[in-house]
Amino acid sequence: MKKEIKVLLVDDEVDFRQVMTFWLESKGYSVIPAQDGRDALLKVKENGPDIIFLDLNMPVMDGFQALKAIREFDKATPVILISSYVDDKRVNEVMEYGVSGVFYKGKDFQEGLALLESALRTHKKLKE
Amino acid sequence: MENVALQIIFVRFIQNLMASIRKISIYPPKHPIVVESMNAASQSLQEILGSQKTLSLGVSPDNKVMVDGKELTDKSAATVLDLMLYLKKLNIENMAISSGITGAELQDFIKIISLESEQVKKAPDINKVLSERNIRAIKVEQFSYIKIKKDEESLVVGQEASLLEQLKAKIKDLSSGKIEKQEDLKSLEKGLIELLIGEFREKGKVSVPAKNLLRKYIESFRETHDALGTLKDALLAYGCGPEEVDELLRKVQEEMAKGPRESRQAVKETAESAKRENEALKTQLSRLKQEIEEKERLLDELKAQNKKVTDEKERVDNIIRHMGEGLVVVDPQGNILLMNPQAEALLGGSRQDIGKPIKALVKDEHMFTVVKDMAVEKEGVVQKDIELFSKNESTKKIVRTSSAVVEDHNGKTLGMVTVLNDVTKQRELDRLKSNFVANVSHELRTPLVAIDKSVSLMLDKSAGALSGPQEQFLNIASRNLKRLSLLINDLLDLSKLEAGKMRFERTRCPLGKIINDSAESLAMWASTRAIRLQKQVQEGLPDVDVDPDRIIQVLNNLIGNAIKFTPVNGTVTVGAALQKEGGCIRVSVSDTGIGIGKDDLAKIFDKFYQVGERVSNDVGGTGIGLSIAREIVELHRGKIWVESEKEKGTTFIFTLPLPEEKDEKRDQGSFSG
Repeated sequence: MKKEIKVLLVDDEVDFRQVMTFWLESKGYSVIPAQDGRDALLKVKENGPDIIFLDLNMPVMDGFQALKAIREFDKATPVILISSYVDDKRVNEVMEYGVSGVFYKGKDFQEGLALLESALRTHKKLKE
Repeated sequence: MENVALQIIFVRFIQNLMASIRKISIYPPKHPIVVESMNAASQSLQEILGSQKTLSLGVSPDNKVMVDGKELTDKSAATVLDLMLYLKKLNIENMAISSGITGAELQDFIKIISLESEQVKKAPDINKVLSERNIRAIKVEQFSYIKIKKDEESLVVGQEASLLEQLKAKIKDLSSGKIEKQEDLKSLEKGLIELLIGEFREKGKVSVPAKNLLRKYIESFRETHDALGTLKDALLAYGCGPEEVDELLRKVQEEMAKGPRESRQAVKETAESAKRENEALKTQLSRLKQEIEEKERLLDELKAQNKKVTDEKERVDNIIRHMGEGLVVVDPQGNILLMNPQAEALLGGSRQDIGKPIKALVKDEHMFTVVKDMAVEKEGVVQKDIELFSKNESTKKIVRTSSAVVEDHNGKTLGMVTVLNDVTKQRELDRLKSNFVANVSHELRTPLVAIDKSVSLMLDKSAGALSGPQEQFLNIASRNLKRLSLLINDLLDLSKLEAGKMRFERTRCPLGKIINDSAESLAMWASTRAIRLQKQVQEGLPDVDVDPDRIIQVLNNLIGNAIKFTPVNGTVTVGAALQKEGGCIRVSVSDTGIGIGKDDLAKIFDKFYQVGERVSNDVGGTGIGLSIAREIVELHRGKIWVESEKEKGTTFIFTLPLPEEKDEKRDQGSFSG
């Protein structure tokens, strides 16, 4: 049995989080939910996820701040940003912090899965 | 005493003689003035010769005039000195005039010593000249030598030895420092004076050698003015008339200044004065130049200014002509002063209408009555949309007019300027947009209801049992469907409000009841979040004339927001009080929440604007609730605003005007849209 891949899903919208968690779990991933940036930081340190889905619009600590904070101690873990705006220009500002892709909320979850898989492959290659 | 009387006569004779000499050098010999003077001289001579046989006149070696072997002491008579100089010039030591001399002889003699002195000087023997002229009564003895005091040597100078040369020699000696005695200088000075007077008397000017000599003397021994002063004193002392002295001195100075070898001082002075003059001219020239330049500059400036003004006017004309909007200016009587082509097109007028009343073009009273209205309310711009029909009334235009009163600096009304904007198309687009939003929202609702109903049916198990996750996801679907329908309702409201299609059912009702209704409906929600919802409504508030459902909508939105953004155990306070100024009721909703940052405050009423940080994850808004609240409050002729401080809470405040009986009709009109 292959090792379970841990996905940290950070989003403040509880309904979205529940649905996406259920869906990712159905694809065989282990999902750790987090409700904002601060929660995400704690959970990165505690659980050491293999990949992170990070929403940009969040209270307390938004995705931009969270990404920068995570990169201070973890440069390797792939991060996929989540945005509700199509063609979110703000993403360009944080690409330098190591962003593997952007998942737009209106799109099919299948696209999110494709981004996740490709990010993991690239990460694995880099490791070798 | 006899001697003294005689002396007076001698002096008178010498005076007359010298007067004749002077006059003959100025006037022709036959001139009455000369003749008169000669007669006087002859007469005084005859007087003398009447009492003695001969009269002897001579010059002693130490330059004293000797009469009959005795020194003539009356020195106050300048003419005595004159005589001595003449005698010396002609190298005459002594002359004897015998009785029996005729007037003609004396006349001839005078002519010789005055007019022909140079000739006589050159002649070997003056007696010969005199006898040639038949002057027998005058016998002359000439100097055979001239004694010069220096070293007590006797220097024999021949007939040619002149005073000039003696003086030259003396000066040479003095300037080389051989003689330092004051007396020598004095005698030199005396000699010089004699020379100058002699020359001046003879020629009316000072010769170059004499001038040089004087210069040399001055340079060696004295300051110019000092020397001239001395000269003057000496001349006066010798008995010259003051006028004569001045004349001589003037001449001397003149000659010294203009001679070829002028004194250095004079040269320097002349050069300096020339330089000064030159400088002055230069300064004047440069000043003139500057003046010219300044005038040219001013002229250029004026030209530039003129051009600028012309350009400016042209530019303004061009702007007015080519601006997108129509522009009409009317005078206080409503006659057109100015109208650009766009305005002509909009109003259907032409250039010929300028000067005519605007009434002819615009039926709407607004355009010409506004002058009266605005006289009361001068500040600002009056905006109004007017409908204009084409001449055949087939098409309708909607024109937005913005009018402002133009005043001169005294505040006198000059007229009114109106900008015309064709908003027909914009109106049409607005209408289409509103219709579109209304239609889309309406069309969205239909499927939404179907989905919502289906989900409800599944959730109430009418369609069979559900597994745990199934129920969970159906609940999520249901929740989000409600959210979506809320959003659609809000959008519909907003589009109706913006299109002016919102119908207000206005009634008189107490505000306290409205606040109670709103608070009650939200009390449950507040209690689930452990938030205290309190009311502070002032007693005895007058009833308001509003649409209660819409005001409840506003309050629900504000209170809902307050609950959403207030942390657990916070307080939300709804207040209402009479505000005396402005005649309105002030309604406020305060929370003890996180507050709103300055940046967000400005944008909070914008559509779809959502403040970044929220306190709980159950907050879900459409972002248009506040926009709707503002539209509703403003359509009730109220105002809405927000006050907040970060971390201390937020207060939303809106006002509702107290009902005014007379305004009732108008209000209903404008709200029914």
